[in-house]
Amino acid sequence: MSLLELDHVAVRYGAGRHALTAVDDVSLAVEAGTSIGIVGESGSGKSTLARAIVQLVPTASGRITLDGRDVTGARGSAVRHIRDRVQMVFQDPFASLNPRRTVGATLAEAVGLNDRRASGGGDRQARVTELLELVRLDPAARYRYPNEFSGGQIQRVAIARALAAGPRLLILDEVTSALDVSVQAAILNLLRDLRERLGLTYLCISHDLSVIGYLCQSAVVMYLGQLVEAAPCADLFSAPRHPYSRSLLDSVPQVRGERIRATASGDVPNPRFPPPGCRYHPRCAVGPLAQPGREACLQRDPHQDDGRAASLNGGPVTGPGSGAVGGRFAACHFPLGAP
Amino acid sequence: MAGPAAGRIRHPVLRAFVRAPGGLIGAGLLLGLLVLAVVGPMIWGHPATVTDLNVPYQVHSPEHPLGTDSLGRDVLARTLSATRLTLVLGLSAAAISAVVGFGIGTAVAALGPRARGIGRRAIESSLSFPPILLALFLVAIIGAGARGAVIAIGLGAAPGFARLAENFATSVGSREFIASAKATGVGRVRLMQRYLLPNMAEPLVLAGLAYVAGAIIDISGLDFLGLGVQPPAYDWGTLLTAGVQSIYVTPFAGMAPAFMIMLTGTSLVFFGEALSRALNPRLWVTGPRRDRRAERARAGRAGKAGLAGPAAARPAPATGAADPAGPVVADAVVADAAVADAVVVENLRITLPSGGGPRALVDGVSFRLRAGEVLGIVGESGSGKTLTSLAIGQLLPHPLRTTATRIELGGTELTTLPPGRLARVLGTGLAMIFQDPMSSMNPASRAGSQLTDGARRHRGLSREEARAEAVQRLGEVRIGDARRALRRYPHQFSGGMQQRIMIAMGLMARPRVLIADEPTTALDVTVQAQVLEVLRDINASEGTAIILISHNLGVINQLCDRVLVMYAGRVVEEGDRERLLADPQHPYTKALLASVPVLPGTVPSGTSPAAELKTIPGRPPRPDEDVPGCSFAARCPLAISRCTAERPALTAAAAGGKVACFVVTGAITGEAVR
Repeated sequence: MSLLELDHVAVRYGAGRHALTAVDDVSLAVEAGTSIGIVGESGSGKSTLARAIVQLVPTASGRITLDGRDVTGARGSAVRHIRDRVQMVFQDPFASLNPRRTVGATLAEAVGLNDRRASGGGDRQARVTELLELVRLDPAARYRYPNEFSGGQIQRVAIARALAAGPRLLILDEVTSALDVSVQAAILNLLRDLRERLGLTYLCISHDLSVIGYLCQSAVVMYLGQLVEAAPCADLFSAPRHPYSRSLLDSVPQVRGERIRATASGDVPNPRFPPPGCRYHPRCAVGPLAQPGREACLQRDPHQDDGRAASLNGGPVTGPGSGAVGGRFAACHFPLGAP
Repeated sequence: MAGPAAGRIRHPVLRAFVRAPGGLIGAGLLLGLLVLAVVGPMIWGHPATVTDLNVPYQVHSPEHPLGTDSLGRDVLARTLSATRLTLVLGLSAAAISAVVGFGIGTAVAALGPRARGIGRRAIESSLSFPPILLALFLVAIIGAGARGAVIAIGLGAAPGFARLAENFATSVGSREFIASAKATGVGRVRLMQRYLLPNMAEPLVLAGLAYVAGAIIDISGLDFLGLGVQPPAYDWGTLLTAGVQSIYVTPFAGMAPAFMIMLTGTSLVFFGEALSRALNPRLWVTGPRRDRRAERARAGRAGKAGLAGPAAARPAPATGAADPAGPVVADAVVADAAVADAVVVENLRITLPSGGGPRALVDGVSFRLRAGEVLGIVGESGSGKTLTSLAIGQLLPHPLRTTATRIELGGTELTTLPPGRLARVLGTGLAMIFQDPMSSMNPASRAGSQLTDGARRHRGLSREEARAEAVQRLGEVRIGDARRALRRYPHQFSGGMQQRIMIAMGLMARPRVLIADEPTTALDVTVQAQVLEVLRDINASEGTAIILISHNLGVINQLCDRVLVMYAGRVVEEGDRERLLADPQHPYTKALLASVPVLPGTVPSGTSPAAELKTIPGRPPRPDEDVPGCSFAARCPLAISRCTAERPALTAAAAGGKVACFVVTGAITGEAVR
């Protein structure tokens, strides 16, 4: 059984003419002990998906199963069930910590709210020390306020707070995007180390493919709320099947090697009015606008294509060891590298 | 206020209070007023009521220094003894309006979306009544007198506070730490107590205290109408009312209470300002720790005797010869004299004035941008790369100060240019684009007028000519249907389009130099690739020289011919892009490159994703830390003892380019590598 299962999950903002489907029919299974990356540009719905998992935004349809329990639209004890197992770390650690409280007070509060074992004040303080040491900060850091830390240090505090609940799944939402590269490297190393030591599972959201490649075994690519490709990272990066994944990879400016070309034309369309058919077709380098005979892309959404629905629902990305790694998925009528 | 006394105070709140401008003055005045309020009626209470009909309307006499009123009562005694009642009334009224207003406002903000909308409308409609009118209405219900006046004024001003509190609570509530507190499971009441209120306290405290003086004035208004304090009781308002009526006969009778009201207002505003600063932990200077750091730094310096003080460590740029970068540039000038340079910067130093003498944020930076070249400046936050570019555009914000031997744009020296000519040279010769295009555009005006304004003003083009050129420029930055784009407002474009419009706007004047400061950092990768291609096209077709500032080495690799690496306000390495990225020389450049994660599968071998990323231990020195030697020495794996004592100059390296490192340039003189 997977630690986290998303079954046809949709998230909708607003209603009627102004409705925006931020996450559209996403199915995904996350095995315990693996790391899965969610890649996509702004407006792809990756952050909304993460917020839906911890019930910060309500789901419009579909089911979320966490550790064997249906937590869709969780209330009461089910919220506790989620909190005990899933925690989130955000992009801007300064914005995600109360500037008026010391780091120690913030951590002690998180410990007190979530860790039933640490009931007394002494226990809490011991646990705070433990948490700070876990993220390689000086235990004396507890007496300081968030503004006294550098960006990298404060992100460590945010990670420590997330760990206070003793979660099994950590959702990392662009955690290194605001950091300098040398600081980012230290945080990425710390996250890898914590995963090994605590047996954590990561759901890692980033627009930076190299960060995903460093932290995760497999990745899913989202475009305008939909899952367009799911594959182990090695396969995804060496031979992407969806043209959008290809263009994302081609766009990453590398420090070494060839200069990139802009392969995707135009901008991400307004998610309020997604293009008909395949949502990527107006920008696709091998789509109907570039190659004749591909009218299918204009008419049918590959997600709703009956023949392919099975592969989407049956075997989205799974971690190594489950035996389903080979089951790659690409929501494309004409996947790259297909015979 | 930040005198030696402040240095001894340990408690951060007190320190911040004392350091706030006017904090001590406000507190002193307020204390005086409070003492007066307590003892005033005891000392002057009786003399103030003694009527002496022999001396009505006296202006000034030895017995009555400020004169007497219509019944011959002493104005000074009355004014002083009225302090208690007035302050009690003013504080109570302000307290009522603050408590009621803030309570309603915060509660409304905590409601669900629909109820919040209704609450907000209710507050807004009650705001449409002037407070004094509302107070008059309330007094009519409650009844005239001191109590009625206080309640009426307090409630009358409450809607204003409610709206203020509601606005603050909504804006604080939308911040991320509230979301993460909710995710951690913090309850609603606790959220309000611990998270919302403390983060709104600062402006609310100030607003509440500032209103005390306002309340005193408002009560005076009611006194004037006979609805406030009733005789024989008296407050400053009644005294003021009486005094104003006889202002030409006994001027002091009106001026004395007016002065006291003013004094109260001033002291409360000073005090409130300092208090709100003191309650803000971001402004707490946590002294003891900072002092220890300084001591350590001093102890470290003491090791190498003789070299004294900042003055010796950092020669003024005017005496360029002493600066390490000086000789190198001099060589370069001779070598490249034949080629016209788009930008020349020599011995640039940017300082921030501070209590302990100016702190250098950028120091000894020299470089040149050849015509048509793309120069990358790479560095982490705080390296000074953005400040350097702003200095070229003469855009450094106050109070930063620039000194430089030369800053030239297209052969024109900018530092000595009169302001009028400077604006013209910069307006036509240089374009700058920044990370956030939206904040650089006027949201209230159409793209068309923003694009054409400069051309019409600077170059005297007609409206049609300017529009035709704008259309052409937009085409160059690959904006389809440019004519339609001209009619749209900035927010109607996506981030990538906004940035390209900014580039087009910069290109309208056909500048020779374009400075792009993190132009793609806020953009998605596919859009970033498009913007980088646009910049590359412009460089190729127009020969526009570009300075590209970025923290992203990948982006630098896409565009640049040559790269400067900056660290802690100095250039540590300079060289051709290919060589520098493939074979970095300076230990910092090496470490920086090794810390970048590489896409698995895109790089053949040697950089397995399983390998740990290299990290750089420690942190860069802060500008207030006086580092005598190489600023990277403390974090450098190769550092030798000379590195901490002496600053390496940018010198030619064997591998090509220039490096500021003793170890790399082989200037090791028989010392063992540490």
